[in-house]
Amino acid sequence: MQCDHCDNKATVFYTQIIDGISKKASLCEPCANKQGVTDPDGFLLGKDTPALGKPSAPKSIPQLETSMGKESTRCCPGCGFAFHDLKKTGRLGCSQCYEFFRKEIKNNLGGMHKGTSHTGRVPEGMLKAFEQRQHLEQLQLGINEAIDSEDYEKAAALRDQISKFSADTPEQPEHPDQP
Amino acid sequence: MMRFSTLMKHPADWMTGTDADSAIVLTSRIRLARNIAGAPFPGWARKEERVAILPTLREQVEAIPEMKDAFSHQLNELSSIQKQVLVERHLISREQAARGEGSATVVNRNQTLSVMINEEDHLRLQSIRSGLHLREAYELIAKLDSELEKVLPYAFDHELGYLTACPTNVGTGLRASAMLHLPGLVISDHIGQVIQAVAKLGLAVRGIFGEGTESLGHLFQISNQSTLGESEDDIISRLERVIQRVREQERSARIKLIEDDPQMIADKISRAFGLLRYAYVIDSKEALTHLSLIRLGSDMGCFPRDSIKLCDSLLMDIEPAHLQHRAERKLSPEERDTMRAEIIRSRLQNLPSPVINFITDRSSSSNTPPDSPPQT
Repeated sequence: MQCDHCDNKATVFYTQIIDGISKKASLCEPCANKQGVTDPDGFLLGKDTPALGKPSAPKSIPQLETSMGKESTRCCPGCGFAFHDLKKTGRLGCSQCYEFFRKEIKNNLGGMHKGTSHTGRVPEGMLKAFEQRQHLEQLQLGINEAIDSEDYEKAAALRDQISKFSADTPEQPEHPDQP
Repeated sequence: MMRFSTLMKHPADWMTGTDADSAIVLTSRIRLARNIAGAPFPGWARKEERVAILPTLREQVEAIPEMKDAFSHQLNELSSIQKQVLVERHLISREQAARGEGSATVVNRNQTLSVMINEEDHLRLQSIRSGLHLREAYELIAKLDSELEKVLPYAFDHELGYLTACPTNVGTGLRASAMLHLPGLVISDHIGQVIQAVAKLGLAVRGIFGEGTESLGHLFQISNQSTLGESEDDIISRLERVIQRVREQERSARIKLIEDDPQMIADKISRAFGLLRYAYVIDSKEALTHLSLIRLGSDMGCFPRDSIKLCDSLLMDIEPAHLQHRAERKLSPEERDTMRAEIIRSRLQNLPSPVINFITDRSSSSNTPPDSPPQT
């Protein structure tokens, strides 16, 4: 494996998990020293983009970046797959990657398929949950439309339907915004 | 468990064109991609992880009634020639043949259902039928799928459907394809337009042997590309309609060739017959080209109708790994060409000379516009 910052072979592998968000870095020894990875108190991977390699980033000082850059090196908590690996391999790491990188994957689906959501067969054991979820999503969509057209009565009626539906089923939907 | 020699001795019905309707559409194939929730996809998994998950998957696949006494092997238990033979029989993919320990293939006794374990996805379920019978093939594989979903925790998402290693397969995980013999469209030079029209509909066309429109043996595969946003039924219906349309066009191209230039067609078919009957050294390309013409001739009434079957089993038996399996050793390309010619000569020995009954009088050739491209 290659170092994230230069062409050398990576020999230092750093994994950081904060609040359940895991990030990985593969570095060669010189880059690792330069970035302060070898100093256990001094190194922290950025929240979404690495603080690494940024000339302005002072050494050994924790950096928290908030921008959702395309160079995101978030790794799937299930298998350690980073989204940019998809460009190299054309394959994802595990089924959890779809959950973790949902946004990125959906952005990349454009034009590949006829649609963006599944309308085919559902495994028998998951059929009920699948239908419930689809039903709720449809109601929610109806509420959004009703609000857009300022039909608050309809929106309220739909909201009541959702409350009733979710009272009968274990899955709790997100509550709609009040009109 | 079924042995490799048994598998070789008894080719499946679909391999020998037993369907009355297989003159143009040779086979229909359905493949489903399925994965296990929580386990890394085979390509990303470490070897130990693949090896660890294999026994569970294999046990469940072998336990399905349809897979009773199946041919079931890990890839590292097969020789490179055996693997290649399975590829030539369309029972495993090239990618699977390149794999070893931790990947397996399970093929049912009549070779209509096959399961690849730890290929690109944890499970690739495949069903093949002769002729244009995509729906029938789908029903057979759906049965296998529903047996497996009872015992294996499939990776499924409420929005994206069945989750697959490659996002191009996500949703239904379904790839439907048919193999078509289109010599009429190739000879009349209309194949390019047909391929373009089919591609515009979001379907893929590729040659079975060789690349692009100059497909050897005039054999083409048409398959769906999109797997998300359409139901299995919609995908199959759409593909089936397009294939029927291509089949009609091939039909009319054949009729038109006979009407427009019977001498040319008679000459091609008869030369192919002479060449295959008397060749002592023949490479793949030459053999495939001429067998295609014998196959066309059988459909045009020049040879007994069941010569189509003869051609279809020959198409497979003259492929490199099949030749080497028969010889029980590795063969150089020159040795293969000699052996190929020998097999063809002996199989065609009893084939009567072509009867050309479509030449009545001298016809003038005319150039008419091609058929309209397929529509859905």
